[in-house]
Amino acid sequence: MDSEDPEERRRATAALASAGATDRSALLIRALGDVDWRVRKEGARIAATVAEEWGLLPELVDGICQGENVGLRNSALEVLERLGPRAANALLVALPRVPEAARKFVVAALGFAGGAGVEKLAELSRDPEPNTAQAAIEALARVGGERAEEALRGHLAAEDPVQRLAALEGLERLQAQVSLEALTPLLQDRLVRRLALRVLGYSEEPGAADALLDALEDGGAAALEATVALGRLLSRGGPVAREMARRAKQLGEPVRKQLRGVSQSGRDEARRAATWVLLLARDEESLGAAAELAADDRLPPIALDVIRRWGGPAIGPLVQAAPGLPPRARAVALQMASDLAARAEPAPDVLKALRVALRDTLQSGDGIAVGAAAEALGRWAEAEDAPALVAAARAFPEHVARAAGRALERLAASAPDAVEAQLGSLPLDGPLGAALLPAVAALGGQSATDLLQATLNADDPRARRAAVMALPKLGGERAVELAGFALADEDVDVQVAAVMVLGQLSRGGELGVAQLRLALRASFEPVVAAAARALGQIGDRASLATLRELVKEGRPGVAVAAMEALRLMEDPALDDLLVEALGQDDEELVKEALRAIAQSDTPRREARIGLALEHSAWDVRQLAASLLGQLGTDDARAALSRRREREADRGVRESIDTALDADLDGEEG
Amino acid sequence: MSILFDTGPPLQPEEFRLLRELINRFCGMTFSDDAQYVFERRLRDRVRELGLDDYTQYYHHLLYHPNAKAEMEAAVDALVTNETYFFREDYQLRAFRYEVLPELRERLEGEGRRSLTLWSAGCSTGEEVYTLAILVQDSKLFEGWDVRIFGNDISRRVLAVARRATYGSSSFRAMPPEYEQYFVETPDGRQVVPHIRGMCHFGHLNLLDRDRSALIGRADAVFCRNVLIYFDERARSRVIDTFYERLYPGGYLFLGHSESLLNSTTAFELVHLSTDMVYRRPRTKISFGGKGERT
Repeated sequence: MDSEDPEERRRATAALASAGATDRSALLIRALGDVDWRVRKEGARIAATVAEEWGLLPELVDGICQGENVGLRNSALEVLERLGPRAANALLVALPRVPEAARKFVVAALGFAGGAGVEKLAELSRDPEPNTAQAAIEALARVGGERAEEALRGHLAAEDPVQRLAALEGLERLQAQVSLEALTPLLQDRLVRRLALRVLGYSEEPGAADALLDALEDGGAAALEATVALGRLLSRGGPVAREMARRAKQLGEPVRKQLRGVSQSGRDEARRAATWVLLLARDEESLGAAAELAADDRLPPIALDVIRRWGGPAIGPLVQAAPGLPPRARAVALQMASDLAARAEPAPDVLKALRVALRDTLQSGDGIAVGAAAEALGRWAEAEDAPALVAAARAFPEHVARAAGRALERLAASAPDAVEAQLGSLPLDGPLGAALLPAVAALGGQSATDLLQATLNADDPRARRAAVMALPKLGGERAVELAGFALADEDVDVQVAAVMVLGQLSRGGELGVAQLRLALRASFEPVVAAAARALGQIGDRASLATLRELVKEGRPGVAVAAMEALRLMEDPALDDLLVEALGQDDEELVKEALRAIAQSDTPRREARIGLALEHSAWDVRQLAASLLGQLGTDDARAALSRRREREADRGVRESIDTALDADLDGEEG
Repeated sequence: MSILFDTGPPLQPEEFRLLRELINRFCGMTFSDDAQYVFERRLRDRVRELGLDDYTQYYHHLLYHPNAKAEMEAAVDALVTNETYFFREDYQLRAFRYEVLPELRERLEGEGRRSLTLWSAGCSTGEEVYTLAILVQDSKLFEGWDVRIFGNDISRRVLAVARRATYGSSSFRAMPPEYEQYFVETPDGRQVVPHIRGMCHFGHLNLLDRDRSALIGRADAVFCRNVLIYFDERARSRVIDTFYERLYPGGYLFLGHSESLLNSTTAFELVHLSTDMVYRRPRTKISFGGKGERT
């Protein structure tokens, strides 16, 4: 610790936790005040783990109160922050003896101590010493919760503008609701106006939309804040958002122009909000920006819903915007136009423009745009498009080839000759074959059957798998026979595909069931699992004994599928398997057993499911809560209530609440 | 795939959480609660491609299928946007070119080592790897040296693009014109010239896989920019430990402008350069309870 080299001191500090030195506490406090930040950081890391055990809390509080070493103060504050609620008592005890000048630091530290300090902070936020009051307001914003929000709201009318500002900042940080009545005077206050607008974004009063739109019309920097707040209002849905949607249609051109500017170049949240408001306003020029945001999944589904409801009239503007957009956004714009056209029966000239745009994009060099154009063209393609679709499939990576293959598959229905002319001479091994075989199958006829059969022996397993997946289009005994052959394929995915196909072909009859039973003895686990599921869906009771054996064998992926099949067939012997399954390590297996228990009429089902509320995996507990909620018995409710008190996982707690509420609804109903 | 009227299976909140946690365990990446929609949209094609009915079946595929690892990579690939470009964050590259490279040259020569290894961790489509190679070449400080620039990524798709070394206009949005000489026009875009490509190597590597990272050997500088922001704290610590282990003492670590080691580790020292701050593995080697050693 005396070395001049900070790296040596840092390592010495790191070693303190395991060292037995009698003066280790003093050395650690010394490290917290070291001149080198790495030594201080290392000290803080160690101190956070040993502070209580070594009795360091009073010294840490002293550290934040002293005024000579800023490094020590910051490090001590960091340790107290890491300790959180565990430091609350030491801080509260120390407060009365701390010199006035240093109180703000203790108050700041209380902000990390959780709810234990909230009452004291609320009191100190009205302290006559302004620095202390200010620090308390900031600390309340860190603590959060109803009491802290209430205390912060109480400062919105403070005489001191700095306190008003701090309270608003805190409320914004907590995303707290503030009444329009309380915010209205602040909207006239130039110092806090922008913050007040942001807070308005969390309002649930319909008048909030009016206030924000007024601010938008005023222009200037506040307009940007109002835009962001409008986005927040819209995200929350409800009556305010509905009011907003109604008002948006009446927006004047100056406001629209301003929003367009933000939608093109603002920061992310503002861009999204501006685009959303413009979409609500049915502003055609916003569709390009919407496509750009949607391309990166930055436009929320409810904003996309606005375009859906816009419908046919949006097709033309989307097609017009597409050429000027980056490739990914162009792809999205054309896909959206195509989606809308499929439901809106657009005018012939609009449809023609869409076709032209899709064909142009199909010829572009960008894989993403070409893939999207091929996919969308599937609905609108004509015989003349077949060569370009095949060319796209050949020139671009697999996912583009698959999109082109799907388009050709659709085209095969309306222009089979054109498709056959393009596919007839192509080598269909490899990924290209995998992409185009569905189109071949859609052509039907003997030549398609021959080609599929030939491809079942292709070198590339992807092509073989695609050939198998296309077999249902042929149907009949021949397809079952060929799928049966594919069960002997050396590739696991080809075998799984064969099982899926046999499952489809065998529904409603015996065709293929014998092959599926054989697949229960396959060497690949996913094949066995797929066969078990297929037989369960068919309801093949002749497989019950084998399925029970598969549950007992304990291979998780197989056992889950076999148990699912037995549950579907309501196997009377399933109950005997469940207790053991509940004790398995694999969580999916435990969950499947719980579903089966819930479905059974075993007398101890609530107790058994209730045990799963103690499981270490959150998803098992969540499912158990949901199943108990569905059962809705007194025992189930009691088990849920007991667990609610101790449940630490937020998602599971919500499921328990939902389960208890649902049960209550049922009783009331 | 339809954007507005997709009729694929919906992703349930529980399925989202399970998939998110599985991916986190696999590669350390973390996704926020509001990424559910992104998961649903971007994994839908995978679910359809595998012929599955819903996301629970997809989760089971990722848990139990013998090729689950390959599918996990495909899922990560679908979820992550890999956009990058040449000469990204040029202020940092200027610091590297004009301050770090001369320092490395002088020091390594003093040590009698005439080899330089750089590692672009999470290199995506390779623009950063080639940028580093161009900077080293353009500096003329390492002529006749053994120079290697290694790029890794978890996505095989982006590595294929990197190896092709041919790029469209958006990759050149920040490239100063003086570096045009390192590219040739081709019908598919601008391609990196062969002698620069020859300095670069690419590998498929999960940054959480500490053992496999040893394949890279030791590096004089690691660039990991705008990658750690996608990781949670635990994964970030593991990756940073790997960087520490793989760097020579005195080697540099470059992070993105919004990234910091401040709350992750104290093992690196901060070096103030004229246009940037970078991290460096200290040159002191001490082992407590044993002998001290200086390099």
